[in-house]
Amino acid sequence: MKQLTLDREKRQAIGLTYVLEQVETASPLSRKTLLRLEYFSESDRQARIRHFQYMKRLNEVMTSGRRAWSDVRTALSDLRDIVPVIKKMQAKIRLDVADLYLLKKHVSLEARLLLQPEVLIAGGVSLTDHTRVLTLLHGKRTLEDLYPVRLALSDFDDAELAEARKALAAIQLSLSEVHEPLVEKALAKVETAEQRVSALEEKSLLWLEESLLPFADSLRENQEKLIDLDLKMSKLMLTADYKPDVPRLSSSRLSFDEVIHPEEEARLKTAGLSFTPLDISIADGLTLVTGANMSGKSVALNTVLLNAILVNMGFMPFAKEAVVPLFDAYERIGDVQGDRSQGLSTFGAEVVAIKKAVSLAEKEKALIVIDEPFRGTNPEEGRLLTSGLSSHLSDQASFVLLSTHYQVKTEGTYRHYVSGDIVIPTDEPKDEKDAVRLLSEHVDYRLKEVTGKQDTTHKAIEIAGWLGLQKSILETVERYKLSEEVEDGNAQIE
Amino acid sequence: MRSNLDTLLQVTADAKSLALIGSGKNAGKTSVLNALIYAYRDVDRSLVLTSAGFDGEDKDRLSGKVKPRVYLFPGMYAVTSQAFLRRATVDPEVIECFSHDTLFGPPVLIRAKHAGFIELSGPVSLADLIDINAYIRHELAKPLFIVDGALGRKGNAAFSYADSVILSVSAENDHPSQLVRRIERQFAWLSIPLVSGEDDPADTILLDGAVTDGDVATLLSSHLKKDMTLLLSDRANCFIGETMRRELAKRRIALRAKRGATLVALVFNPKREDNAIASSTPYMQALSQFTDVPILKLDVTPSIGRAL
Repeated sequence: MKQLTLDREKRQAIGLTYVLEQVETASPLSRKTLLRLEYFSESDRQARIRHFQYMKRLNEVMTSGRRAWSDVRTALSDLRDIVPVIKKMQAKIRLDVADLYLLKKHVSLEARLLLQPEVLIAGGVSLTDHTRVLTLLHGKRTLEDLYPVRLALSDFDDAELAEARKALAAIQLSLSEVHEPLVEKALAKVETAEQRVSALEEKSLLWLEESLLPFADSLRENQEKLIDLDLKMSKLMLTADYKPDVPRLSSSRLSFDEVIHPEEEARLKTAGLSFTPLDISIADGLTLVTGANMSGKSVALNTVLLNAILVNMGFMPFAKEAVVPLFDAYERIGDVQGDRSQGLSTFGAEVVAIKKAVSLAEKEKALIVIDEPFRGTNPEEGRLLTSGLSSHLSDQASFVLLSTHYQVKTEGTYRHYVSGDIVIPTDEPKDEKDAVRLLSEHVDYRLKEVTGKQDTTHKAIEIAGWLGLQKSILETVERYKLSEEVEDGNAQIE
Repeated sequence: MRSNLDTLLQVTADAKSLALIGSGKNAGKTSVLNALIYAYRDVDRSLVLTSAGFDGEDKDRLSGKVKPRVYLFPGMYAVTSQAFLRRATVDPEVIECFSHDTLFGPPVLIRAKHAGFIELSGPVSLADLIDINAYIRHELAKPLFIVDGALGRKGNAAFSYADSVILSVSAENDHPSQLVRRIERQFAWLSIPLVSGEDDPADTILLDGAVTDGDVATLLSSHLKKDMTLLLSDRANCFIGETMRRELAKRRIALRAKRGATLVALVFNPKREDNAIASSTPYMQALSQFTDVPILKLDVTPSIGRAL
């Protein structure tokens, strides 16, 4: 598995941070593993296929509403990290009573889970049986006394140690009634008795540790399997409401049917609105997304990137159906900020970021989204630069999704989606918030695949007017527009 | 006449979580802890002890001075860091290992299988302490969770988990009236009146979290007016100094809290840091002006496990 290298800002921008916050793992330990942000890449093809086979079977257990599901979740909530204890064992560092307790807690959890074979089998979890370890750690206690899990070093006492401990206990109990000046003498007696107990305890612990050591590796493996089971179950629960099909694997196509962006959906829901699910299918090389302002281009790009990453992190997609290839890397370019400390303007920083993304697209099979590149410079050169970039990316093995307002010229072939047909509302908005809300109700956010040359949508002036830009500005804009049209017409006649 | 130990049992009978706080070092908190342990040795309650610093070591880690050790009776509970379990002589039975980590390993809840000594070093953050308190209330029968000391010496905010407080004070170099003045200033938060019922008083500004002089000054320049009430979510959130309190009183602005730990007893330690013994009577009389709660005198030559 590879580790996602998108930085915190980018993860936040595409909505991954939000999704990960929504995952409710049963154990905090599993959450730590989730936050390692590992994903299936090209070399994990078989592992991803198996993963989703198990996800499908687990999904059947979850949706059948069987009690086993919640029993396993409850048990997993008690999963603790035993790796530090195992490391101590293997390094021959003496274990203490808390270490032994943690091991006992873990193997008793395994024993509880082995009573739920249906979930374990569905999740592809085959646990090593640690009954022997449990017996060792249970010491002299009776098996009926297994829950709740308790452990004291006296559980492992032989007759001699039990006798020594009893003597120490008796001396210590009498201390509560000892007064000065006899305290020192009494404490000296305690110390002698305590030394005897410690020496015998040392022997008993050594035997216990030697008996446990052969199980160190299988204990660690079982913990990893249980973390994996917890993550699979938590991931399934996250998308349960969307009832997604198991994503299919393809090398040449990335497509989603009725895909949504969960963070945007939640935000819209709060505002009493709903997210329009998108259908999109892209292939290697370039896919352009064009459309008017506020028509959802950036959201569409983020939705595709987020869901592709999620699927390769082992999540079910937020989509009815998904076909997702394995990628070696992911990148997002958008909202690039300048870096004064490096002497880079916004434009300069964007050029550097795009250069890196292009190198990535050339070297690896990557999924890259580029949101409105070169918008920070003059429109004519911005359009030319975007055209050059598009031509270059159109014959790469990577999958590139690029949104732009520019009328792009490319020499290569590409797919083209147009987002959002906006009809400017006729009702007068009450305020700015109302204007945004009304406008969003008049946008068709669906992506439409188009072929042939398409003119870019020119609705910016109308939208600016709707959003309340001063009338005097808009009047001037209209005047300029008219005179430019006249000049263009004259030029054509000449 | 009721004995000091009976008084301790009586004042803590309804408490579920008790903070032992001191006016400074050498105030006698650990001796009070041992006295509570002794008082509860035959009582049918789950006594759980922990420390917000270190307790039970035979010498102070900073000053090297001899300190009282913490002595447990069989069946009593303690929360201490994993590293300290090795030195415990109570045959600790582990009940739970908590996931919050400290320098000395995670806090562990143990039950003493027999009498003996234990060093206490509990959770290092208020959030962890609140978590552990919640666990104890849920899992143990009739619990009394006793926390010795202030978390990281961060002051009263650390006591918002507790419902009751026992305050230990020592004479040090103060005259009786100076001592009273000092603890009045230091523990003024303990005497903030609580509002009763669910409803907030009229003309009230409710503030969550810590409230400082700066916060009050800002409010005074904007919203907070004469005859209004400044309502804190917890007494322990009050970090308002004496001058600002006087300013509030002058403007007839009442300071109230929705909840907060209640002082249930005050313990006077007559032993000064130089081992000299102060005459208790004038101090005890002066302290009775500070509070109506029972005032107990610390025994300066205690047996192990008994200090009152």
